[in-house]
Amino acid sequence: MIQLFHVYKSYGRHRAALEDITFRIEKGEFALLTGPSGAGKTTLLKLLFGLERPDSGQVVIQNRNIARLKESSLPYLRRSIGFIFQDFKLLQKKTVFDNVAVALQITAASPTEIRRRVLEVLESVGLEHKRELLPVMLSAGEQQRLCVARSIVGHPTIVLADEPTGNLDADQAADIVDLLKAINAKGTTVVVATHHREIVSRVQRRVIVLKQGKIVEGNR
Amino acid sequence: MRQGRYFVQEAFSSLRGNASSAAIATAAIAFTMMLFGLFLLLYFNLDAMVGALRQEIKVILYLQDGLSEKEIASLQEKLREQPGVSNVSYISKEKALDDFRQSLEGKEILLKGLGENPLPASFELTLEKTFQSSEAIQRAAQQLKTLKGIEDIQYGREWVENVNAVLEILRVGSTLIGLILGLAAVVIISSTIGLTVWSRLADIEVLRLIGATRMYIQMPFLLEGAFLGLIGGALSLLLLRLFYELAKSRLAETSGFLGNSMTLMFLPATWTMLFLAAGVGCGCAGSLISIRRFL
Repeated sequence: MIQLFHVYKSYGRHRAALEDITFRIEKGEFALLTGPSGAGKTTLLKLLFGLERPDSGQVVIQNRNIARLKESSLPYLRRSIGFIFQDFKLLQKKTVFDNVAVALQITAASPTEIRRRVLEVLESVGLEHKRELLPVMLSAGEQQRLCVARSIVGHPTIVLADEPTGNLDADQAADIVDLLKAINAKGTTVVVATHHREIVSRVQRRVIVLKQGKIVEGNR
Repeated sequence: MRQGRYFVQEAFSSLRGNASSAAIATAAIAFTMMLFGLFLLLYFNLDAMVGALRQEIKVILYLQDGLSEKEIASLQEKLREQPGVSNVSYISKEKALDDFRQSLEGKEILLKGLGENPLPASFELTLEKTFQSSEAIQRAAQQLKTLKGIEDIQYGREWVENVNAVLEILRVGSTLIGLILGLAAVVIISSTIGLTVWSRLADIEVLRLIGATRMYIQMPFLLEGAFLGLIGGALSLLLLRLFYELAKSRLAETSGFLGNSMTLMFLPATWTMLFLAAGVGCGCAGSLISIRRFL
């Protein structure tokens, strides 16, 4: 599902963000990327999502080599990967419903199909009754659940999450982790970057530890 | 089709959100396009006027003295057969003097003491439309000069050339001014759309992250620019029409006084459509410039 071979990435001449990263995540796996701030977790997720290109090495997602993917093909890759952001990245002038619907509108799905799937996914994250509200009217935990709903409405095969509990309190964080586990239970591959030990202990799955851009534990 | 509806909705919602800057941009486009339209109107009307005057261009062939009636009749026949000649009329020496006397109007005394009639007999030739350019007239004149019995040829060559030069200057001037004003319209739209793009950068980033294509992101802005250009173009046409009606009524008052029958014409239908299309084109170009600057 996800394979990295000897990946190097640096910003500027002297700032190596990732060095010789090689690992493999199987289909349906739940993996946690951990390590201190600046270890390279976010850079690694950006590489998997096509937001960055490696300086060298191979990043293969669903048999597609990201390093060789054309710029015009990236939107289609991103549609097959759900991404959960630490700062939610919601459309502030759109309702809860529209924020989720937009992920299907870009694929030219029919309005009936969009309505059915959006309501279904909003129900699964517990926001169905708030579908007419604007994001600003939601709590941080609800905004993150909305972000989760948007990331899974297109039935992606992979969900990536970058510090999804970074802006949440303990209860809200636990909610999000449970949601991610439920998504994984349905067969979706989930990769979460986090430096919260509580999440690691709550998930109890494979942990890949990064330190100064290198994998120090959990490689396969 | 489904996405088309979304694009239109987004474009109009953005226009509503930036109503004041959109209104200012539309007014500025209408004004710049109207200025260009005025030049076009001037050009079309002068062209029509010159076209009418050209029909009055005549070539005058002065005859040698002492030609017999038979020779004159045969020459007239030859002239009628010349290509491009639509009408030939003969003016005898006596008629020429008579016309001259009439043109002096009250100063006939100047002709007193004039012995023999010094004016030559002549033929006045009217040319077909396709033979009215200065080059064609010159060619025809040279050919006619070779005919036996012709003393001299006179035609409004300089006049034709001057009118053609003025029209050429107007044509080039209109094109240049059109280009400059079109550029101004593009800059105005580009700045207006730029404000919209700037205010929506965060939303654009979200769309990119969830897998929206470049086309999907750009289309509402393109439509917004096209709409501003279309409305600006339509408004400018309306202003031009008002100006035209005003000029026409003024001219009618003057015509009544002077007794001339000059009429004004508005832009032809194809040009009206082209005018609107140019507005839409400027709108799209302005949008594209903005989008490329920010995205």
